[in-house]
Amino acid sequence: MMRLALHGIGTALPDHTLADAGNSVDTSDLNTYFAARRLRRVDHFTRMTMLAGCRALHDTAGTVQEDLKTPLPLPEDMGIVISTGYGPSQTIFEFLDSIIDHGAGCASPLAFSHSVHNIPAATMSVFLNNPKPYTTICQLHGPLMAGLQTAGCWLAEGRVKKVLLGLVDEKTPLLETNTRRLLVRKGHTGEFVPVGEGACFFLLGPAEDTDGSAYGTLEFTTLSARELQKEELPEAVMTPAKSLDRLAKLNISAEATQQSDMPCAAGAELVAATMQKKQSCCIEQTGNNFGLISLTPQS
Amino acid sequence: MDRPVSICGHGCICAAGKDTRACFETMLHGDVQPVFAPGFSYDQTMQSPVFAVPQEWIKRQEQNPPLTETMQLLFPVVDEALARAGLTADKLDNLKIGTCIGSSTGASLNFKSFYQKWREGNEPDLEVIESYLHCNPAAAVAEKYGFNGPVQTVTNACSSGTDAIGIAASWIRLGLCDLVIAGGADALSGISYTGFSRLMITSPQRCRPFDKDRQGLNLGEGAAVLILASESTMQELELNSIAQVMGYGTSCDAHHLTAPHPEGSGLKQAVRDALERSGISASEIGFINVHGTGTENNDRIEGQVINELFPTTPFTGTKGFTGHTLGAAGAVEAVMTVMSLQNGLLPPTSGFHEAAEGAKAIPVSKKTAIDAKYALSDSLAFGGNNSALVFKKGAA
Repeated sequence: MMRLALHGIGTALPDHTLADAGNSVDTSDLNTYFAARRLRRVDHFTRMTMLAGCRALHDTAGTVQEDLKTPLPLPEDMGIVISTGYGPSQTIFEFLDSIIDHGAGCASPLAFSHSVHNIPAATMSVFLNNPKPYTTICQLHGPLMAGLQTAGCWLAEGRVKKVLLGLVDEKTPLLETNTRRLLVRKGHTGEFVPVGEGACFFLLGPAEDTDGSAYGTLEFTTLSARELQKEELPEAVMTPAKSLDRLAKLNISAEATQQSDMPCAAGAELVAATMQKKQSCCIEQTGNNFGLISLTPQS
Repeated sequence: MDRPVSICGHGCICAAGKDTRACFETMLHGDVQPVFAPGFSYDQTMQSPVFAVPQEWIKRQEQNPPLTETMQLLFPVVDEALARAGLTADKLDNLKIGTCIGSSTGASLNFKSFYQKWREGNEPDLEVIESYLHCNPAAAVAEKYGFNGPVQTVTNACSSGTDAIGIAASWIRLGLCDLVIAGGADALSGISYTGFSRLMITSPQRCRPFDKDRQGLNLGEGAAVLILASESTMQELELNSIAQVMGYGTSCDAHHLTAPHPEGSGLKQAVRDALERSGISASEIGFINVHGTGTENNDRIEGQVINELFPTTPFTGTKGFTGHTLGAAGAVEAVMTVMSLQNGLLPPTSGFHEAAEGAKAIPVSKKTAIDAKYALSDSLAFGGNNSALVFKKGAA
């Protein structure tokens, strides 16, 4: 069991309504943080990353971004951990487009360099002028738990004093098509949960450092299905939409606020859990096991 | 200071050899010639040979959906490491085992043929997508071997393998697991080849790290892992500690997405952190296995930092035997660092002949006997990421 203080939250998500489920994220607000000229080569995935990350910094400090002159409240000695299911997919496809359309000899070197998985974290480090550790995790298997574990390790070992942890996924037309085709192939006949996208960031610190934390502490551990069934869960249990059926089979009542599906959906549900302002938890499926993240609000 | 973490096994495959011993022997006594791989695009501006693993060395495993090429390299290496450590299936029962693997192309959506057909309005066979979904490197290892500890695929470009080992050591120190399979894997990809070629950093000939006539890198492929273990597991299973992970440092430049900081600030910070966390000084490092890609930028900055922090420490670069194996590079080099510590021998820097005028950092150019207690392995990556690991010879 690891325990961390949660100091701030920032999101870049579509509107939280059923009607807008699966819509794209509007990142135009990022233009109040950084000059349009500096952002001209920044792709959509990275824009979501930076917008949610910067919002988490302001949320931590209790400040707002009024215009380009507003200083970003960067905590001292802050590492960045980004967890994603697929990475900056659209940029990868843009690189493939450039090969298909113009031939390998004329393919876009810019699209290639921006398609590398760690470039969003690197871009944020450059824009924040934050020469500290960062890491990027890419997996469908428990991306939230993996990110929390790395954040917890860095803080426990004193590598950094704070960690800005982000969960980011991008929707692409190919991902939507493939998801639908794979579900049909598996015999899925019900309604499709639309593919979603977005970024959710959490400013984390050591558990003993809850001073000034608006959100209290979170504890996380990985449990088997049987162990999870034995847990005394709080009233508010959040989980990604795709995991609702699995939890129901374990007689666990949970809800999902995002009616769309993305590998990092547990990030959005963790945000929803924090909004309960009472004991709550978020459950992320990790292979055959489950990550349980319990929230205790600041008393 | 970081508590040392024991290493009880290792495995490696790359163009230099089909297992750890063969790779090390080739580096000490042999040679590897890069080749022009079939299926890659070549033209006047894209003519760089690659270090491919000969197909006959790969113990292919049949699976449905088919394994990706990265996993075809990684699984045999995990088998090798478990066998070398004497970790049979019965010994692994009831242990909490983590999996932390660095990768670049192995976690990328590089399926061009599928994408092109889809773009043309077709519904291509989903097999390649299913392979990708089942072959996330860390998750696939955990699933195949039934490991139940933390699972993490690190995608920090060329420092991924180094970072995976550093993170894995933290898991052991903090009691998150008893054993960790930690390393990196990447197969050659025509897409990455095109990308690196278009960035104009590939060499039309065999790469020449730190040489005055270096022209760039050659891509390669490979996989390598270390098995890290907690002290209680080492004792309970009577495992042999062949080396230890001491400190790990990582820092980004926050300067440029594809070029290192002109003064190597992030690399210096990563190396200093690794030393401080190891509780040793730079002068105690017996040798360095450097990143040494053979590109103008990398070798200049890395040489500058070595000269500043380690002015008299011998160093070698092994990419002249392996090519740049991207997400696997840090892991391959970590395993070769451990082999050098164990055997007291440093391989030559293949491809290096003559230093540039005024260059002060000069790598070893022939097989060198070395009596080192500590060694450093460092990696620089796209995105200005820099990471370093300190290893100690033998048991505590």
